[in-house]
Amino acid sequence: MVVMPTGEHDKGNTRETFENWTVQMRKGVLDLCILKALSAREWYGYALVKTLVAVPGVGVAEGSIYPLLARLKRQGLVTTRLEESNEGPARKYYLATAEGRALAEEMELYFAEMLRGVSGLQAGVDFTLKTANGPKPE
Amino acid sequence: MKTWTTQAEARLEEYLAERAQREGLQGEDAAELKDDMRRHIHEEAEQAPDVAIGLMHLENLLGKLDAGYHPSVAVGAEEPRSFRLWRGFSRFWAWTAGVVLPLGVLVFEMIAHFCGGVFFDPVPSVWHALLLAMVPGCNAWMLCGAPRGKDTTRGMASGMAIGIAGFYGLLFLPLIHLSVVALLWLGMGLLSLTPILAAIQTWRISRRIWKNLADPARFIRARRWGIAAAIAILVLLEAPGLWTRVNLNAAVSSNDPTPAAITRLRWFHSEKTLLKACYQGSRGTEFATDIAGWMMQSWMIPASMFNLARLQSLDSEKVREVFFRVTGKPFNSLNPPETRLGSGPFGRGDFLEDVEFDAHVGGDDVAVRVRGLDLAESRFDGHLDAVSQTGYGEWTMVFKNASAVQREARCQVLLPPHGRVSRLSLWVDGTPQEAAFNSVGKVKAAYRKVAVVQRQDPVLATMVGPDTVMIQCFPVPAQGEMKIRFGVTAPVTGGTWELPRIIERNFGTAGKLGHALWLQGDAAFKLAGSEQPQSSSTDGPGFSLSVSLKPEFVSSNGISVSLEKPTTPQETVWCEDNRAKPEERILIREPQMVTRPARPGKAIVVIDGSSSMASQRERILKSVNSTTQEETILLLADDSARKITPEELAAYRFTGGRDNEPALREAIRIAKSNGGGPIVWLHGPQAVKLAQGEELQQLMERGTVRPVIDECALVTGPNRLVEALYRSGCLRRIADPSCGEENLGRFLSKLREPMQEPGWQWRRAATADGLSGKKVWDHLARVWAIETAEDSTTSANDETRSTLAANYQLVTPLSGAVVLETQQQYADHGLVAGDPSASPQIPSIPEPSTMLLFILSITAAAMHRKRTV
Repeated sequence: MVVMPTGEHDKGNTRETFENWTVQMRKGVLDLCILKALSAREWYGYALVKTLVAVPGVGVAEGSIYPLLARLKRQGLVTTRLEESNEGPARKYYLATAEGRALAEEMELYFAEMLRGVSGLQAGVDFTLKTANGPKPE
Repeated sequence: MKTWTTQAEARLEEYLAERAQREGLQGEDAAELKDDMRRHIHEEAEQAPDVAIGLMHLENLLGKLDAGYHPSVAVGAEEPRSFRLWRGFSRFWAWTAGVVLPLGVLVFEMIAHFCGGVFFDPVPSVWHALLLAMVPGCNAWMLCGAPRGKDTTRGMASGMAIGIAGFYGLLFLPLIHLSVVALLWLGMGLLSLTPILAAIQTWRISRRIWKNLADPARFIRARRWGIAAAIAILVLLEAPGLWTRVNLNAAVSSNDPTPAAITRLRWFHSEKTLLKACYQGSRGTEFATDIAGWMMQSWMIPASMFNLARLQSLDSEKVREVFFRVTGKPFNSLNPPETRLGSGPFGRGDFLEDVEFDAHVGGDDVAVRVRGLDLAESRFDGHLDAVSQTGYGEWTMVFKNASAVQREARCQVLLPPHGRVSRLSLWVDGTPQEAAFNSVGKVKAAYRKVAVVQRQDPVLATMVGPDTVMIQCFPVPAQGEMKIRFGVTAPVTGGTWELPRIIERNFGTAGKLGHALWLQGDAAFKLAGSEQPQSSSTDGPGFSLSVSLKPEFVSSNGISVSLEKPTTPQETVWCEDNRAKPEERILIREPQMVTRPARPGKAIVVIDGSSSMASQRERILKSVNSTTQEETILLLADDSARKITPEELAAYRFTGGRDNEPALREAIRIAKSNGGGPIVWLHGPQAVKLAQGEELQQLMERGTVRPVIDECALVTGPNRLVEALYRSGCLRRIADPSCGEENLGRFLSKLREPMQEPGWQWRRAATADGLSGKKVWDHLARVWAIETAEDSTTSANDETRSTLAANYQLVTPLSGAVVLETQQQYADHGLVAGDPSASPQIPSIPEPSTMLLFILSITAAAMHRKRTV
């Protein structure tokens, strides 16, 4: 029986854990990124994909964004329009709807709150105290 | 834009389909994702320096697009041979079934009318041809990659092609089993299979291009609009026909004489479709119809194979009745629909012309218009004798048959009032042969035997209505001519002599036909009713007029000759009657005042409500207004009997062909109940046989009051009601002027009171010695014979009257005339051929040149004498 050194085993698990965590993170944040981008202005699909892929940390395959865009469109958070182009195929332009913009704001606030929370943990803030000063549970 | 290799295009579509499946998307969501990703890849490809995008390049792009992507085929590896072969065949078949065959079949059908002559006419108009041409045109454009077209245009064109090809594919679907069998066993059947193949292929081509487009969603939306547009156009083209067919079937299958279907058809119908249906049975087939007719019947072909339905042919007689009831026109008053049987090396026109069936040869009906048979020449020579107040005219007709089979020419001719045919000739080998006159039964039997059985040259003339004869001659040879002539003797009534006219015919008129009219007389006269009234000019001791009329005047109403100084026959006239016994050889007619009994009671005016009478509305209103409402009842014959006022008549809309029988029955009932008041029937054509004939006959025959109906045809045309009633003796034809405009009131008031009218009496003598009257031509004897033979008040039986009429060469209700080809044929049927020397002739008058020479001679002689003096 071969017994792996404890240190190497732990290192492999850590890497896998990190990768899983980033996948989850990207999944969660990508919707926010798309909605934020489309809240600011209208983008045409190709340019949006290229921009999102270039955002540090997002790191998704270009092909993964289109199913997300299609889903957001189905949910009524994004609208599209086609425009003929002289340089190639017709371009599809995307823009967040009012609902999409509101959701983006909400998601951003939540994300910021979460970041503050994470930073607070590092600074030693005791969130239980804050909770204790709040309304008491029934 | 970059050029893509076929393999790269195919691989991209394969990837996109797989990706959509991986994302769990279907339908429009899948299409949208593929659309987005395709657009992205195309954008990416445009950034590449390469001119063409091959498989290798695509794989790189896909690798960038999709994390963890693995090429499914080895890049650079050559496609398997079988795959290449399949791809090549697929492309070849797309061109064959989607372009070449549809185009070829369309051109072939337009030239040969192969399907049109057997099943239905798939290309009945230039619009159908354009729609059909769009299918191969659009498919070819798509197969070439639809260059210079936006996705919307492509989608629209593809949709139109799918709609049209699908419609025609469905039309031919009921023939698919026959087509396959014909294709496998006989090598034929591709013609009827092509629309189905084209429909399938058009759909496949559309799918292929849709997958390769930059914006498939837009293409699909446009394609839906294209299909909708094609359906809309087809509905626009075919809905009138289909509506007509559906209602026609309902009308024909109903026993109700005025079903709701007729009302609906009067509201809207396609006359072309109705006319086509009238001739549908002429080839002994249920088919050879139009698209609408095919849609109604074609499904029965496969259904009949499983005994689920039975092929039923339309009853032609009923269809023709519906045609009249809906349009108000007899179906044979119009040219038959085009056969479109094709010509040239591919045409089958002659073959199908041969099988076109005329079921009425030798019959009593004029029936269907026969294709290719025309009245090529027409000539009428007439003479009016003002002294005896008698006219005689000869109508010469030349029929030309352009078809490949022998034809029978049939027509009904309306003669002048009280006129009878007194001569009938047929040209055999360039020589006129005169008719034998005998009883109706004998001459009809001879005609049927010689014409229908032996197929030799006879001509027959019989009476079918008041002053109406049926002339029929057979055979007008294929690609040949037949020349006949019939003479008419008739009294001049009120100084007017109406010219005979054709009221129903089974032939057309040749394009250059001129109706040549030569009229002469011993007194000045004028011609009325033609384009311009014309007066006779002096011609020797008499007067003459020569004019060539347009073809429509052979059947035009109201062409008549009027003496410029009309006189009542006041003086005694006599003629030598060669057919009488020696002691009765001189026939004398003496003027005498005759008392006509009164017809008291309210007068009933029956007005035909058919559409043909719409043109006569003002005239009828003037006529009606010349009567008083207290003394007249107006009955509108609109399939029922409706009492109306002149105001209601003014507002009435004349539509369709209205059955006058119920109104006549009601008129007779009213007349009987009020003591036999006069009935005047103003009508147009009545091309429908009686529905309740016996009931009408019963009313006319029974009771102490025998009604008399004075009928006046304001519009020329066949009249089956008149034909059925005229033998009862209760029907009296009155001349048009009697019922026209303000004369009707005067005419009716005259009928109500007993009147002394100028008439005459006849007597005979052995010699003319001591006679004070003028000697006139022997037509006077025929006028006497007409009166005597048709006087039902005498004790003479039918045979005696028939013999008398035949002896004087007259066609009456009891006698007819027939010309046969040989003496043997006459002998076989107990007939004696007419003697040309005994036949009536148009008298000759001195030619103007003769008269001129005479005057010149007299003048020269006088001058010579003067000089010598």
